[in-house]
Amino acid sequence: MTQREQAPGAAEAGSEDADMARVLLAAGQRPQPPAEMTRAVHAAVREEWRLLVEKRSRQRRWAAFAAAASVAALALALWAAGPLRAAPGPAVASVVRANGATVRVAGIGFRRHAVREGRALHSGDVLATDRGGHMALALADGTSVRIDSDTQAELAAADRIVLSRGALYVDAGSSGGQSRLEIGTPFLSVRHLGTRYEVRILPKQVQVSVRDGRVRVQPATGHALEGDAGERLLISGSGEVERSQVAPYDSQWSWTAQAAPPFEIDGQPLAAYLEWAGHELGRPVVFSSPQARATAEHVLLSGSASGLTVTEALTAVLSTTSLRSRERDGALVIEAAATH
Amino acid sequence: MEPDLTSERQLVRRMLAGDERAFDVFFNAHFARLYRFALPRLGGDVEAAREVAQSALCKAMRKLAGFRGEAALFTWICQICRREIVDYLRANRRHREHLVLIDDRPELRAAIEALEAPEEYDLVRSHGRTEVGRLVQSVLDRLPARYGDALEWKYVEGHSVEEIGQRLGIGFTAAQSLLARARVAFREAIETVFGAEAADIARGLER
Repeated sequence: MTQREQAPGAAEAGSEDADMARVLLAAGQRPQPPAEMTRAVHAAVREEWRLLVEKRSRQRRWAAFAAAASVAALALALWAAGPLRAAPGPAVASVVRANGATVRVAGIGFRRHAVREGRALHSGDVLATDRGGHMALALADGTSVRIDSDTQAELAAADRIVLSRGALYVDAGSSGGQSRLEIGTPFLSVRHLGTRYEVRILPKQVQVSVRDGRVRVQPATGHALEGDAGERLLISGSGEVERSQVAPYDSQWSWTAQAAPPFEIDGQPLAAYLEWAGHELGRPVVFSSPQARATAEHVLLSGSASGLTVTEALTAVLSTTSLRSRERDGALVIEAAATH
Repeated sequence: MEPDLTSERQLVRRMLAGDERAFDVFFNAHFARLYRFALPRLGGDVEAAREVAQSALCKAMRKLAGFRGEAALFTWICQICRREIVDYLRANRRHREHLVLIDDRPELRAAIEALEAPEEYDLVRSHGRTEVGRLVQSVLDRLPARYGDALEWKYVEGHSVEEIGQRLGIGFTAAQSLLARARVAFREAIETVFGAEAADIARGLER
């Protein structure tokens, strides 16, 4: 007879319990989902639950109103409440650039569809990018959201995106303080108080980098904190925060220029294009001379730069003019091209 | 062994009322079990199991007001998850050749879900140790969540009653009492599902 391994805890149990302990030991430990996965799923399911609670709360308010109203008013109230019960979510964004990107449409299973420019997106849609893929969205309020490669995010509502993998970049642009967009992650959410920032999920932390303006970060537990322009915050699940500096032209932002919505150059002054390119590259435009500025303001562009990254397009556009660009002290310097 | 349906209905009512703590109790009690439910049915694909479990839980949230407490909450979520698995397999051809698990055999599924004894036969001989070991784990997952965890911590990981109490946020006596109830529930469950006594099941698994 061979010596059997005794189940931990079996020694103190009776013989019947010892048998049961042997069964448990032989079956072994049940597989556990990774902690990072658990946090991400928790965030996604919690968002769904939060929407359910809000919807029921709205419906209760409508019900109270309807009970106090006449039959005619009741009919009116039900008509008005109709959109709240609509099965497919409302369109909350459109795709302005996509490469290696898919969408899983809310409520109709797991099939993923390739995303094309111009597609309308609805609340509940789950977006994903491949390795090397990118996507740029325009939200209804004008906010630009870019999705890095190997990312998954759900458009939970018009003003909430739940990021479960990878990174998002938000450029609220002219909508600025009007935009109420919130980015949810496994253990914190981010709202902007200014204009441009990135949220990235790392193996055990969430990284929030602020290019312009300020953001407010609300961890799942604990107090809210703010990040200013040029700051990078690394926040752990237990709420520990490390702060460091990141320049607006740091290589960390290069992917956002690759994913940038295309600038329609046809008929635009060169100066407007340069302003946009400087914004995307995180470098303010500086003209080396009044003549260079005058040239940029008078030249009208024609054609298209679609399909090119910001840097490629800048080189291509300037090659047709008497100007050139170089990077110096954090700025994009525009000067007269050397003549040979 | 019967899940406390009254307290599950209360949990759902608290969730519908917006109680954040109730949501966390629900999530902590169900996600890992649902992930384990999906994982072997998707050929061990961790990402697929996550996607399906997440989708099933999101759908459960949308349908939560319709939960009547006629079956255990976990059984209800597993039914949603089964449909999600079918949808996932349809959409992802690479999983077409998925395994049919022994706990998906109709007689065992009924036994696990309703704990009515199936026809008696030697499961270990028919399906091998690994599959039967996994079936034991499935039975643990069908117990109330804290029972399965407490038994595993005690008998597989070797934690003391004090440590189990600390993990569950309860005192020594309460942990001891919970373990006693968990042992009874587990014994009844495996003996019903396997149609044999624990000693015989243990011998079969150790063979």
